[in-house]
Amino acid sequence: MSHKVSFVIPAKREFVGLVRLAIGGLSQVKPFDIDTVEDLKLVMSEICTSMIFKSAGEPSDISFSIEIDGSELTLDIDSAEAVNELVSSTSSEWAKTNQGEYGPSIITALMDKVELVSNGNGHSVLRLKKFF
Amino acid sequence: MDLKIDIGEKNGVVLLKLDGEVDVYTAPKLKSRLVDLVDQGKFKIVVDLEEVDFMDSSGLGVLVGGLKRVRSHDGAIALVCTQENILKIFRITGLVKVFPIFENQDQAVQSV
Repeated sequence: MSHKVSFVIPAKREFVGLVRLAIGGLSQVKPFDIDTVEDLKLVMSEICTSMIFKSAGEPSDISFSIEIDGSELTLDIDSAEAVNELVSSTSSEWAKTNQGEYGPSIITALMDKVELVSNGNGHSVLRLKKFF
Repeated sequence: MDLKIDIGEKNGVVLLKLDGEVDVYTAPKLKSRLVDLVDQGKFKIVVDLEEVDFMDSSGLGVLVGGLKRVRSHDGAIALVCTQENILKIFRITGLVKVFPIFENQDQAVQSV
């Protein structure tokens, strides 16, 4: 049986802890081991950090969609153009944020699949997958 | 979500004991403390991460920035950490080769 949860936060530093709390609650939906939950919290925190730096000064939101289907967890993250910056290791914006320079290696190390997919409305969303 | 920072000193080495979460929201507080210490001429620092519940790359970035600052004055930063969930991000990013990491404060103080 598939479960899907969606939520939106302002792209502001003080809301990142809220995202980690939400991820922690996933263990009540599916009995993930503690290491998996901690990894997912870290990944979500890295994504939020990157998008917050990208949207600095501009009011924007970050949208999350989390789907658990059998042995597969899918995270879709959308914050307009910020996702393109996130996966571009040559991005000058990315390089400028020294807090973010370790983010991509952490995300790719902890997730099984990281890709940009079209949302059908003319722009891409970041999709992360974890298989169990 | 908060980060508490206690500052002490042992054998001429500054001890920064962190308690809480280090992320994009709280990391500026840690950065500010490290910058203040360097401005005060404190270039040998031990950062104790034993009570840190969570840390992401924001914390790593601040620690690396602090290391660059103290090294420009021939100083050093050593870490105290035995928590696997925190050590993991140092391993993933290769920073275990940059920071000396010890199991207790005494070993860390001796190293710097």
